Amino acid sequence: MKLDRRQFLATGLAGGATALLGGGLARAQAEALRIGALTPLTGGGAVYGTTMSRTYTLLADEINKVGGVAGKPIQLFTEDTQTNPDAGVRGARKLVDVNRVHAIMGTWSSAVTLAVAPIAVQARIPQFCVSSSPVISTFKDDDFLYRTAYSQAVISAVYATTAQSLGFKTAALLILNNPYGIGLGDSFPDRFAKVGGKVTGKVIYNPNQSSYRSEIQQALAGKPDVILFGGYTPDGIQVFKEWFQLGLGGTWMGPGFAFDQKFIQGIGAQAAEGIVVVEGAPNLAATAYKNADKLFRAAHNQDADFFAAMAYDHLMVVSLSVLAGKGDTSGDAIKGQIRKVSNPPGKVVGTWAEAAPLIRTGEKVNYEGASSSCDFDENGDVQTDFGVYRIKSGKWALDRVIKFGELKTS
Amino acid sequence: MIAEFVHLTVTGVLVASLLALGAVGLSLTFGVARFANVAHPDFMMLGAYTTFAFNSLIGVPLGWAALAGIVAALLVGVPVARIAYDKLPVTGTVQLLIISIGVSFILRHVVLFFFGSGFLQFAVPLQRPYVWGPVRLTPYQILTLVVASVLVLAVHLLLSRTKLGRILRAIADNPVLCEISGADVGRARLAMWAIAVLLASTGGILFGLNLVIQPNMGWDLVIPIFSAAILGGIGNPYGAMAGALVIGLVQEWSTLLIPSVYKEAVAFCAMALCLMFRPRGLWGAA
Repeated sequence: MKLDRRQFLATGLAGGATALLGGGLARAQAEALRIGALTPLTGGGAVYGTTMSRTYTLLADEINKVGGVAGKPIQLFTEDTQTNPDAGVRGARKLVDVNRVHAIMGTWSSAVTLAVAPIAVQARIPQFCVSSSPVISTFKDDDFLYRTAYSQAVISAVYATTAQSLGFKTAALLILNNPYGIGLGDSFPDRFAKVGGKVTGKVIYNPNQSSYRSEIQQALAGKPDVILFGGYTPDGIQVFKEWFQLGLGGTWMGPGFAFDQKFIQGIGAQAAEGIVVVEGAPNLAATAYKNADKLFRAAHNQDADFFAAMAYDHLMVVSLSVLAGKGDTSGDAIKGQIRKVSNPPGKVVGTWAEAAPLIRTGEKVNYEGASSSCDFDENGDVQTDFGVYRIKSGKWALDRVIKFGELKTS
Repeated sequence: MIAEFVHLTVTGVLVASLLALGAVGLSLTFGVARFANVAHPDFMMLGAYTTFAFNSLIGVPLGWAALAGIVAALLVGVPVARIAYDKLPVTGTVQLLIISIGVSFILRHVVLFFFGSGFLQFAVPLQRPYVWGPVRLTPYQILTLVVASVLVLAVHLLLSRTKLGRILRAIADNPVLCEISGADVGRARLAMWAIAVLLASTGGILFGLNLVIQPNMGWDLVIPIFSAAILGGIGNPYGAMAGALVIGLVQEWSTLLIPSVYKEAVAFCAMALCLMFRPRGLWGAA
């Protein structure tokens, strides 16, 4: 390990004379792989952040039990983004400046991810996010920013393919007046036309209205087979409450983050029945997912969802990269190994027990993740599959899986 | 087309009845206390939350919870209004306006502290509508229309047929003369705040019943309620009813011709147009 002047001083100040008199080497070997878990534990993303934070702990424990990564135990430092860019930046600064973490993972919400990214890039450490803004693909990140979630750029194609596979030939849009809603409204009609569908109407609504009755009636006017909802949970609850109370019928389709458990509680299971929910799907067949699910089930008595699967992948990819780099925890070294351990070619692996012995003997591995294949492209993006769920008795029930390859994305 | 028009009219009247409960009280207080109480729509929010506390937290059935909630809103709202607007040694409409913005912030943040920022709903199931041709109304929506009409009528009777009503109208006309002639202006103002909070909190409960409850619900209603009051001729409760009806109907009817995302803007254009020809509003004295 090379000591630069700053680290040398810091070691000296912290450890005193013993550190200077030969203790430095011992410290270096025992040094942990420090991971910054920067997830939303409060605010809008609290449900997802808590799941991810729990998964990091479970996997870190599993790896530490068998001796850590190249002799280094994984040490987790947890900060709460509060689903808020300001708090996210404060948390990231603390992780970088005080804890001197080797990687940051778990940022949810594109605003938080993009606010934290410059800090990670400046500190030259990898950041793993679960946000969906297309900007994250093109962000000037010097290849330090990775995401395991899908980009919104593909979501219109996903809806189109979903509608087609469920036999819907006509669709209307009811979308929120913000960049996300308008973007969906602009891109969906073309995608839907490519699979032979027709859009009967597009209604844009403002949030916080005293009534959504006229918007709902307009959206339903063309008698579409399905209505695509492009909003969030809070406005969704108001819109669907009024829709149900109008008694006009119709089938709805929309994203998982709008039709979450809070939404179902808000409008009741009866009104939510039959809604089509589209969300990233875990890579169910992979050993990585099976292991993540086993860990999560044992600790929390719940299936590992897409977010648990993504968190599992973040920590696995970083740990495998450090191991492949013979214990080098510098950001540049980790970055250099990420695609080597997770992309083909190589022997397909999904758990630490499968992968570690192979890497130690110098064999090339291809990590097949719990949330996707985790084959990172030049933008640090992956190709996730999608789950199509129908709400049944207040719960999401998996209807079918749409593979990334089935999408007509161009 | 006819069916759509009828549907929009029903929706417009429904929106108007919610706005009217806020706008009538706002106009009344403007007429008597002579300043624009920005915190008035927050009294709506207050009523919704006190009712929520009784209904969803304690488990009182909604009807009784609403009564208890209105009483609680009166016990909070009236002293707040008396202290902030009547007792502080300030006069002048601008000072009172700024104070009312402060009151609005305080009310909202107290509610935020106790209830959080999330969306809440009363513990009542969603309802299916009665259908008469193009008219679709749930029992609660019918209740909303009935309660709003009854309360607005009651305000009319109070102002036109009672001694208190005469005093309130007299204060609105000339407060000094009214006081000289021996009317108890302090008590009249107390009654006025009570009426305003009663109307607003009832409106807030009905709003929560139809949509959702959230700390910003009052703030979100400031502009539509003020427009209704101004359009009607601010200071005049009858005008506020008419103003609410115009805003509600124009905003919904406009969606026949213009994308609905502009419907609120259209209502304001209608208001601006009205005021160009009748600067004192629909009911304002010339």
